[in-house]
Amino acid sequence: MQRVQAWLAPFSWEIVTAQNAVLCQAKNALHKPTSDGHDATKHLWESRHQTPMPLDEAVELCRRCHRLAPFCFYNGNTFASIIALVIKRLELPADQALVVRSLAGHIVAGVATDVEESAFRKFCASLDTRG
Amino acid sequence: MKPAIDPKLLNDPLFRELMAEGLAMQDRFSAEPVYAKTGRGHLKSAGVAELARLKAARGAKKKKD
Repeated sequence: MQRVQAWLAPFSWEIVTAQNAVLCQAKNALHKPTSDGHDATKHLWESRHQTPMPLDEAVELCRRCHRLAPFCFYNGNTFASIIALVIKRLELPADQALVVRSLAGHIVAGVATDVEESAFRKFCASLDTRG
Repeated sequence: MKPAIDPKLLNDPLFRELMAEGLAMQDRFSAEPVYAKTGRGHLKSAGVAELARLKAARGAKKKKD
């Protein structure tokens, strides 16, 4: 499996926006772009999401977009769910998938420790050697 | 506010899978943009139940083999 892929290519900004709309709707929260974060995040996402990149860089892009807060509410699970789906598609053994997904989720959520970030980078580096 | 979502997207298998992922983890995240405001995110622990279940299943499989 190649470490460098266009992991985020299927997720257009339209999909990102619709995902946030669904998540807000589920909690009766306002789905609305922010005045200070939306345009910068949209530009960043659209300029990068189709680019082949290492998996850890894809996670980092999701983390940055989460931090930029393009929407008023539920930015965290908007981007964490994208990376969770990317990891699901790696079809790892169930226990490993759970750990890898947790590490990536912590990074995107902005709560990862240095140890977790290092463990995730180590996993990403191992992708080139997998079948 | 009930936003209009393109019906085509609602029938897209990728988007449907993404919705399911997002909704399943919804309660672990804060609605507010805490990370943008404070530089530190927020995520409730998922607990260890899932890991325990997987370990138990693996243990049972080993025993069977």
